[in-house]
Amino acid sequence: MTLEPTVAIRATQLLIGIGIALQAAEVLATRSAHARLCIGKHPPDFWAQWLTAKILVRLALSAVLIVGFGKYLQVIEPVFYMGLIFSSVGLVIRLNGPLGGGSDSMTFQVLIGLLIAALGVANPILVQVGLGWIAAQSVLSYFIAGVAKLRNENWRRGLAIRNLMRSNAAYTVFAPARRLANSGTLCLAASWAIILFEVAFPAVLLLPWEGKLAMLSAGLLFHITNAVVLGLNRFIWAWGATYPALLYFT
Amino acid sequence: MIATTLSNILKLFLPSWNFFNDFSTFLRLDVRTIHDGCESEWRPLYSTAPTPSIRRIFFNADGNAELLEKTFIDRMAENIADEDQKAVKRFESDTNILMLAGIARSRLTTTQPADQFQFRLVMASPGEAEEVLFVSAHLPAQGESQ
Repeated sequence: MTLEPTVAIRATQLLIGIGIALQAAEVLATRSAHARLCIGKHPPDFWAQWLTAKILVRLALSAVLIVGFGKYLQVIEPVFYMGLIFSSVGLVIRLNGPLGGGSDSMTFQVLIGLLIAALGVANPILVQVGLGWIAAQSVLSYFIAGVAKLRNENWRRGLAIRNLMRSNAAYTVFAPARRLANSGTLCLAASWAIILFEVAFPAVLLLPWEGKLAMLSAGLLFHITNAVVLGLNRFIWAWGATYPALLYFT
Repeated sequence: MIATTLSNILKLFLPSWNFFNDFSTFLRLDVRTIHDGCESEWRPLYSTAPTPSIRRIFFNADGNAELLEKTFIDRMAENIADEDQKAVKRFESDTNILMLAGIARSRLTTTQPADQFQFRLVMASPGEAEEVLFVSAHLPAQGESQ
């Protein structure tokens, strides 16, 4: 069993659209804080207005991704992706880095993949190339992160998780999670669960349908856990948006 | 500056996916206020208390804004972590220090009156002594940072 390309693309649009809309709403709610980090000669008030305009455009574009393009807008579908891609570049330039870290990076790659797939009206092979791009970025992201952790002694011994849970320096930790970190055994088990899941993730491309669903369900649980424990809510949508491509690609 | 911008754009198109942290060291921004010549105790700019909120799985505006600021602070501190005096002087004259000051000023609490404030960058490792990387001059508690 596999996912039809049109269904995979539609699901990807919906999920990434929600992710972009969520980020837009969060940035609008804290635009003063973001404006203080904008590079340029203008005062923060100017950048707050600049950000508001830019984010409202992104919100409008993401709304189309969420509701779907329909028969008439589908003709200019690539324009929407290019608009989001260029606005992402503009934000990176002004903030001297991504607005949302890793979630921004994956969102950008999904948009690139969707843009390529949208050009499939010219050449149907581009639909597969676009979905393949998204699937490849997803697999690479998990695998490279897993190998990096596997090579690090603090991660292998569970100390990285313990250090993370005991401090608010990197992320504001969920209160019950901090208490759990007092258990060395639990930290060790959690470390190896993450390492093994990430390193084994490329297998998702080879597994049968049921195996894919199981692996992607584990991935979703991983990102939901990160959102609860560390506040990384945007990762759910950025990485979740790659899952339809993984279901399509066998 | 142009090289940094091009590098950021390149990373967007070709991410390395190697965002890795073993959390063996942490950077912390501390602040203290000065009122009538008296300096308060240093305290962390960001709360060290964990949060009971599960709502942030759906919407986490403040948390993500704080994360962006912490990423900015990490980036600013990278060049002075090796105690290079030239790098410290460059850091002091950089416009980025004004942005750091702006972050610190925006998060000053109003429970105590303050004429001025001061911030410092501290590197901490579990089980080891903390290292102060940089201490700012006394800065006005009110006004534009840029």
